[in-house]
Amino acid sequence: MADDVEFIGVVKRFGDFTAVRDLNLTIKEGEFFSFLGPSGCGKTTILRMVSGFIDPSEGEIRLGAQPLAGLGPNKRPTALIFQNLALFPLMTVEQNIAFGLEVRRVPAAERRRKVAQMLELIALPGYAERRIDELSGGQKQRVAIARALAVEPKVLLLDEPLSALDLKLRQHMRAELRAIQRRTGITFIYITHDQGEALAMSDRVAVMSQGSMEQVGLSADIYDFPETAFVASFVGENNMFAGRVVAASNGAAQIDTPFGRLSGLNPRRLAAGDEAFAFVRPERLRLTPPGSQSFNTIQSTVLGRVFEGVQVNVTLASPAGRPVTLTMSNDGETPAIEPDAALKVHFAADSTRILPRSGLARE
Amino acid sequence: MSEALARFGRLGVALICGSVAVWALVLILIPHVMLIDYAFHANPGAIDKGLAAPGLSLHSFLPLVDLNDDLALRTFLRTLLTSGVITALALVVCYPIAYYLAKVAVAKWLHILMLCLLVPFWVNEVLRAYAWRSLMTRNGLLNQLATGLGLEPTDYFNYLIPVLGANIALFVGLVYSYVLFMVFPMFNAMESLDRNQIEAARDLGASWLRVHRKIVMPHAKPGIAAGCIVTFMLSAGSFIVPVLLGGRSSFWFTQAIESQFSVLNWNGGSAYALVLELFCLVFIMVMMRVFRVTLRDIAR
Repeated sequence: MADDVEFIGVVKRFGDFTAVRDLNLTIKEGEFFSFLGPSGCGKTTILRMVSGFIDPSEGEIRLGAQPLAGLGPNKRPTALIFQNLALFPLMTVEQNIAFGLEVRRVPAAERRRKVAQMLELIALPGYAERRIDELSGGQKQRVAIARALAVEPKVLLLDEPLSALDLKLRQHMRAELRAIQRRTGITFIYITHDQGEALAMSDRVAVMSQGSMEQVGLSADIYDFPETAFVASFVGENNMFAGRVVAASNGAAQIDTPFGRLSGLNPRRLAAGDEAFAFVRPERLRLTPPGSQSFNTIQSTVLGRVFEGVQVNVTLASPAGRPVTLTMSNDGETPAIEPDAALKVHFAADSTRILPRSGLARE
Repeated sequence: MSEALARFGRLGVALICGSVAVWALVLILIPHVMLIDYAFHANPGAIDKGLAAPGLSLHSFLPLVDLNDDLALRTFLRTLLTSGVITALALVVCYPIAYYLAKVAVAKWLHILMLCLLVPFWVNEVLRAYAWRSLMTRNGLLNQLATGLGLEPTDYFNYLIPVLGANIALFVGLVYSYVLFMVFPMFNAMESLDRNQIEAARDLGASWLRVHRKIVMPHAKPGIAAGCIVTFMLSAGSFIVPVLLGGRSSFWFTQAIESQFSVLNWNGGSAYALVLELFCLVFIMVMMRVFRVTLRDIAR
């Protein structure tokens, strides 16, 4: 409770451009919180406002109920990990990690102890004397984390620090970051455009678009229960059917689409006549009718089939242009599907979300 | 080499190599051989009077170690000391300018600021020195401003700075003359510093002073060394500025060299010039050692 980060009506403008619009949010102490969004959505601006490099145009950011306004970046109990890491190339690993401690006039012996402890934490003991250019990408990554954690910040801010790593290492570092966060109990605020990263590591995720927060929630909720067309189209793969609501009742709705009438959940309480999109995940599409009471069926022809190892993606022609994708897991029972074959696919109404028609994520 | 051949042809490569060879030979090697030859012979006048022996001799260097008449020695030492102080002063003045241009100035304004720095240097050095002269005379603009503000006028030409013995006008003129040579090497070095480095240091709690001491200065070290070396050498080797702005008692070592040549003592002038050049070489090597930079860093 004590060291929550609160955004109260935070707005940031650069000239005529509004980078962040009216942000109201509380990030709890000890939480791993991610801002997820495409580039230019305002997430880096938020991070720079928390770290103190820029000031909000309106509103206030508080840490542990204390306003941060007026404190320079060198006075804030936050630490930032830069996208390019910004390690000091003329210093050794030890000097890098000890930099913030030296600033705080920590005695030399204590500094050495702390550096050793940090190197232990990032699993690089014995690297104290190494030069930065002798380290691999993943090692640099860890040194940057150690340098930031050494000053014992209340909040660690991470600006897409994994984006420069290759896929294998990135996945490994995700787990490591998550483990370090659990061990230290420090609030992590993580910025990324990579949804896999955000979903895999975070307690909660805020999806950002054009300076506004589209949705905040648990990772699984963001994926399974998107509340806006942007979130549905940005996070994960989704099939989309545009249409008009013809009937709505009790959290459910029906929508007329080029594929015919589809039933789905109606979380945003749309009314008959509203323009809407229906979304359904490719992995929720089935070749056999599901057992549930209410399901949709569409008929189409196969455009192609892409084998991806763990799964097989089948694309189906759509009268509305964008093809429909069906994902089957490669479980040994995947039926052989050839292009141009006619195919019927089914999906449960409970897996279908009908959302107001609004801006989609750009492909 | 083969690449150069492909690009410029045989004739082109011959021309390029030839002009470099001519440059090295005519402008560096031959003059130095002559300079050394003159320096290590006594002047004919002294030989005629029987004060020195013909052939190789150190006679021409003697005035520099003559403790009974130490004008040349004092001039030499004062020139070097003053040049050192001028270099330090130029560093203090130019560091903020270079940092501002490299890391703070908005790109849109940068070229205009650069132009402001450059434009005065389109004018000949002699004219610039005259301009300072007219600004700092007894009834010049600076003194008119001072009296307008109710202050005592300053005698920029005769007020001597303690210890150094140089007057204020000379100081101002020399520092100003070498602003560009100090600013640009530092600017170049600082420009390549990743701004995130500065922000990372700030974020870790460093004050601005520490950011400069620990991040900016170490990064800009080769540029700082290059700027100091060039400024020191140009200042110590300056002639026209001390002639026009030096007062009665700020006699510059280059003026001492010139006065030897003007009385047709080429041997004495050569000896003085050689000593100045050797000292400048020593200065470069000391600076490189102190800043722990190599020639390659500086030439960048």
